[in-house]
Amino acid sequence: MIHVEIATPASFESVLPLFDVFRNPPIPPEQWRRLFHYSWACEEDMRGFVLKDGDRVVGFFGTILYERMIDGRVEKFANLTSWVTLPEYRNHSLQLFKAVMSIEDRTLTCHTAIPSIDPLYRRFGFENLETKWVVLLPLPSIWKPGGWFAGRITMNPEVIATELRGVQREFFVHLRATECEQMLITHRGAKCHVVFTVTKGRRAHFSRIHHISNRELFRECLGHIRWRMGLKNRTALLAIDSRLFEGPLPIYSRETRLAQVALFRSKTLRPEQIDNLYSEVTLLGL
Amino acid sequence: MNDKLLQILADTLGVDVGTLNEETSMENTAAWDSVAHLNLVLSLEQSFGQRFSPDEFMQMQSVAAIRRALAAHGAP
Repeated sequence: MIHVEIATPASFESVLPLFDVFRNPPIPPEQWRRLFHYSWACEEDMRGFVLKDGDRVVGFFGTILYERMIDGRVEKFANLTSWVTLPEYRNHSLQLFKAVMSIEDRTLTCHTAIPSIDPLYRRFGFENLETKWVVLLPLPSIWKPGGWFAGRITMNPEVIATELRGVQREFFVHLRATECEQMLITHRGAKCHVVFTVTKGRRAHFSRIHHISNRELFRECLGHIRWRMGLKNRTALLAIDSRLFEGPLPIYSRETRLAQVALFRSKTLRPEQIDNLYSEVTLLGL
Repeated sequence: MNDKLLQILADTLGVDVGTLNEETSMENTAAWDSVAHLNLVLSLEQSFGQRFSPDEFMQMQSVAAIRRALAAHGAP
């Protein structure tokens, strides 16, 4: 009897063999484990849904649950991830999709909807979360060369840990064990915490930013940030989702379309209020 | 309507229309996966000039269920 059940942290061992079937991209078990065993507190045990044939797990659709305080309200999220079904059970995979779509009390996000499935999400109320990146060369702006910066930029985890407070420190701790890199900018008494990943692309290595705690300060110090990020991580480019980077494009940058459009469904939030901090992108290092 | 429906289904799944019948469903047809289902419903909407709700979308998982949905919309 083929049926759908809620996946819990205890489901990890039975779902893991499925991920081995779909090793694209290859992700080690300890990273998959993060989808089931969070580094943050979560009241719900649900980690998505499993499709089972008797006792055997033949499909999985993951949900990364988390809460964020946005505009003074606690907002609940589920980032959708890893919709996989064994080939011989593909005609049952819609059952998993139906189960996920029944989540009504959370903002749903999907960063990796393949183009062939994109219309399916849209049919169920999803809209564009992001369609473009701002890509910047790692060059300081000509009127603010690196030597003139009066603030401080650090990527030393020990220093960041001691200087961050409150929710930003929680973010730091939750993602410290992942492949994410973190940066703290201090300037004129203000702080900006940045979370990013380093991707080794075929043509160029680049840093991709997923969270910016102080967008105004980030933009003000951008010339120095891009330079330091490129130097430290040996990345040729810096990419930021366009919705996280309001305002005119800076020098040495251009906007480019994402290969995979990110989607969301929310009753309360706008795209610019949603970043990628707790998502498959950061947990799996995609 | 029947011939038209079965022909759309056959075209979408890439199978011979002769292999389809009233019992055909996602459960018993390997080629009828989620992507094929999406394409099928979109084709039906275009061909019959209808727009199905998300609930109907999920329920139309057999020839019989599709027929009921089309009838409910008064499709010709």
